[in-house]
Amino acid sequence: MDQGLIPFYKIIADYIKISFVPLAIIFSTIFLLLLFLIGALGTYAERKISADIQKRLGPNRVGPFGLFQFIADALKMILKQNLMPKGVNSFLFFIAPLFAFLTITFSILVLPFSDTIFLIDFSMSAYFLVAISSLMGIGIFLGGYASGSTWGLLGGVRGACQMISYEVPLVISLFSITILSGETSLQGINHAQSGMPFYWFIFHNPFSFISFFIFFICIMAETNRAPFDLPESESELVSGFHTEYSGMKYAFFAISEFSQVFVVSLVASVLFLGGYNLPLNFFDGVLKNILQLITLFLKTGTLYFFIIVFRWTLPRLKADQLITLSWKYLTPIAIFCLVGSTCWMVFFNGKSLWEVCLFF
Amino acid sequence: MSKMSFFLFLYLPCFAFLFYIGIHFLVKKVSPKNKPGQYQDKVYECGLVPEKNQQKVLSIRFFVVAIIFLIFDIETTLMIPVFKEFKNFNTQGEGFFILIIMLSFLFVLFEGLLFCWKKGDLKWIKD
Repeated sequence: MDQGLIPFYKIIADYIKISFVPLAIIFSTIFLLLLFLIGALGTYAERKISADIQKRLGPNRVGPFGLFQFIADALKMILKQNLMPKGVNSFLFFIAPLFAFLTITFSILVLPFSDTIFLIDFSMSAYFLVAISSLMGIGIFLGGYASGSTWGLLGGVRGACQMISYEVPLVISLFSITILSGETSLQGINHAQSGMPFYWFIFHNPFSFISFFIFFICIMAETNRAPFDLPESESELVSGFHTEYSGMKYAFFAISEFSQVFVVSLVASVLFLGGYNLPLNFFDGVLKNILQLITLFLKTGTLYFFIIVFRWTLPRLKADQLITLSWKYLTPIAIFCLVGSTCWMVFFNGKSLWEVCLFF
Repeated sequence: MSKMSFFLFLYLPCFAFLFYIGIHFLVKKVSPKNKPGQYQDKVYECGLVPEKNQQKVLSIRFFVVAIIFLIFDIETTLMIPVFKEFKNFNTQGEGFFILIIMLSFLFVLFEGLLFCWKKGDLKWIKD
C-alpha cells in the first residue's frame, strides 16, 4: 500500500533513475532535522516572548532580531568542556539524553502535516504517540538517577511521577475523541473532521469542549512546562534532573523538550482543532498541501504561543497540589466527559451540536 | 503497516542513535581538555562537599502513585478496542448496549480511584 510521500519518492526516483529507498531515508532524516530546527527556533520564541512579558530586550545581537541566537548557543554547547562528575553512573548518564531524543524521533514518524506530507501512518498511531511520549519520562528519571546527587534524584523521581500521573487524564480525553471519530490513527481522526470550526471536535459537544482543556493541561504537564515544571524547578531543586548535565548532553535534553512541546501542540490541534483540513476545497495538488501545512502550523503556533505565555505568567504548583490536580480533579472530570460524549453519541445518533441545533 | 513504513520505523531510531554518538565524538574532539578543577568533578551540593552517593534515597509515595497508574494504564489499554468499535455499533443502533457495558467497566475503574482516595494514597502529607 502506497501512502504519504511514497508516490512522491517514486516520481523523483523514476526521473533520476534510482531506487526510491535512499530518497525515503534522506527525506525522513530531513524531517527529523527540521523538527530539531523547530525546537531550536522554539527556544528563540520562548526567550523573545518572555523578554516582552518582562519588559526586556531579549536576544538581539546575532543576526536580524537575534534570530540566529540558537546557532550561537549550539556552537557554545559544542565547545563546552566535556564534564562527567565522579560518582555518576557513567553508562546511564550517557544514555539518558538519548531516550529524550528518541522520543521526538519516534514522534516525527507518525506526525501528519498534510494529505501527503507524512512519513508513516498506521491504525494505532495516536495511541503510539502517547505511548512514545513516556520515553521522555524514562530519560528524565534515568538522568536524575544516574547523576547521583540529591537534586538530580529528586527532580528525576518527581518527573517520572508527574508524567505517569498526567498520562491517565490525557489518555481518557483521547478516548472521547476515539468515541467521536471511531478512529485511532491521526490521519483518520483528522479526516473525521472538516475545515470549518463547527465541524471541529472541540465544538462537537459540550463534553469534548471540556476534554480539550483537560488535554491541554495534560500536555503542558507531560512536557514539563510551567506551571508544571517541577522536575527542573530552579528555586527549590537547583536545576532538577539536569543539574549535573552540561554541554551537548544538556542540549539534547533541552532541544527534545522544546521539540516535544511543538509535537504535542501539533497533536492537540490535529485531535481537537480540525487538523490540517481546509475550510474550502478549491485547490488541488501541491498548492493544497502547502495551504494545509500553513493551516496546521497556524493552529500549532497559536497553542505553542499560549504554552509559552502560561509559562511566564503562572506560578508553579507544589508537589502535593500536582498530584491532587491530576488524580482528584482531572481524572474524574475526564471520565465524566468520556461518559458524557458517549451518551451524546447514543442519544443524538452521532450528530454534532451544530447539526442538532440546525435540525431542531 | 507497509514494508516501507516498517523499514523507516527501524531506520530513524538507528539514525538518532548514531547521530547522538557522532555528536559526542565531535564534542570530544573539539572541547577543551583542561584538567577539571578542585570541585568541578564533584556532584553539585549547596555549599558542601557531598560525601555519599544519593542514589539509594527514595520516597515510598512515588511508588504508590506508580502502582495506581499501572492499574489505570492496564484498564485503559483493555478499553481501547471498545472505543474504537463504538461508532460502528452506534450506527447499527446498538450504541446503548455498548454504553451500559462501558459504564460498568468505567464504574469499576472509578471505584478503584475512590478506594485509593479514601485510603489516603493520593494525600501527599499525612496527618
